[in-house]
Amino acid sequence: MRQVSMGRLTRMFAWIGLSSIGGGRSAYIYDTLVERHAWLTREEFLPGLTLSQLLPGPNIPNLSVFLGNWLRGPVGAVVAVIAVIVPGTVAILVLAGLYFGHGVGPDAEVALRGMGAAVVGFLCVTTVRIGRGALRGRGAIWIGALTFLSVGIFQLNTFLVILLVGGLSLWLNRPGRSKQPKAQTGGLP
Amino acid sequence: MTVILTLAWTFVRLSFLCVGGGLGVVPEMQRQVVGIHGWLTARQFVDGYALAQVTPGPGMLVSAFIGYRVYGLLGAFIAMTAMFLPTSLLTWIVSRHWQRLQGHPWALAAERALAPLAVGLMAAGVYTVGRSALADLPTTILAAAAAIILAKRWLPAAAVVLAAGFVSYLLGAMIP
Repeated sequence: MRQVSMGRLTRMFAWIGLSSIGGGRSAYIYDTLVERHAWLTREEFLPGLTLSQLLPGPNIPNLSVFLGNWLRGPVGAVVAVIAVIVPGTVAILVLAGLYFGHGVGPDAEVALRGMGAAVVGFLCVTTVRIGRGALRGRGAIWIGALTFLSVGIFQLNTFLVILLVGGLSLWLNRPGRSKQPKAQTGGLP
Repeated sequence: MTVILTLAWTFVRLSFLCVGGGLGVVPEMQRQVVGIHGWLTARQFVDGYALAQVTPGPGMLVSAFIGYRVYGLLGAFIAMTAMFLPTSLLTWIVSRHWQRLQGHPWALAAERALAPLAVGLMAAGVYTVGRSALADLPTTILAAAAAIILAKRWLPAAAVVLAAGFVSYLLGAMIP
């Protein structure tokens, strides 16, 4: 474990939170902590990435908990996750205050409409990028399609879908089935 | 007081449905926040989500936006804590044992099993946001243009989203 001071840890994760706008956030954290600062090795980083995607909850805070814990123990985990969330929270609260407080004028409304549309384009691209790597397992395409249809089109309860479709997927991918493709790790280099 | 508890419980449940990231939980979030509790309109939900995307930090910051609407700053604090604290605790507990667990056959099986589920949930998230955000031809064209620019990696995502807002504003000024 590298000796990283708490102050540096705070500044680093606050900076990660501030500069990770849009996609490729885990790739950005990898680049900052592993490639540029060498706080930990690729072999130490990748399990954290897998874990943060495997466990429920937003990915970046999960990854911050793992990395903070790795670098400075429990206190490091708390500091990292708070540092990564707080700057953005302040920003969104200012925006929420303006949005709900002053109301939205017609100009801002038109601008927001355009932003919302671009977000949809952005989400499409992200989903396709991640989907290309993730849809390789046994029955993966069907599991993906079934999930999309039940949650997206039929608007079924997501908890129920995760339970049923996830169970089915786990059974299809249970240990001991031959010729399993190697597990993916988030499409990092 | 009841609304605070409802808010907290709703976001705790939503946080545990974030499989493979925040986007996957958007359909259920809209179902709860707009449909069941009526805290926001569908339009406000999409606006909040768009604002959370151009704000630095995790996309799930939209929780603060929703919480603020429901009960001011306290509501935002409750929603954020409910969204981030329980799952962070779980991650912390598991990460202490992860070195031993990560090679386990069932851990690998879960990893393989959840990947397509997460993609399906993400696609459902895109569909949910798209249904509210793409109201007419201009917004659809903007979304397609944004997708092309981002697929070609010409510009970073936040720049594209902000630029789309500006373009939309200009078009609105030209076509009253």
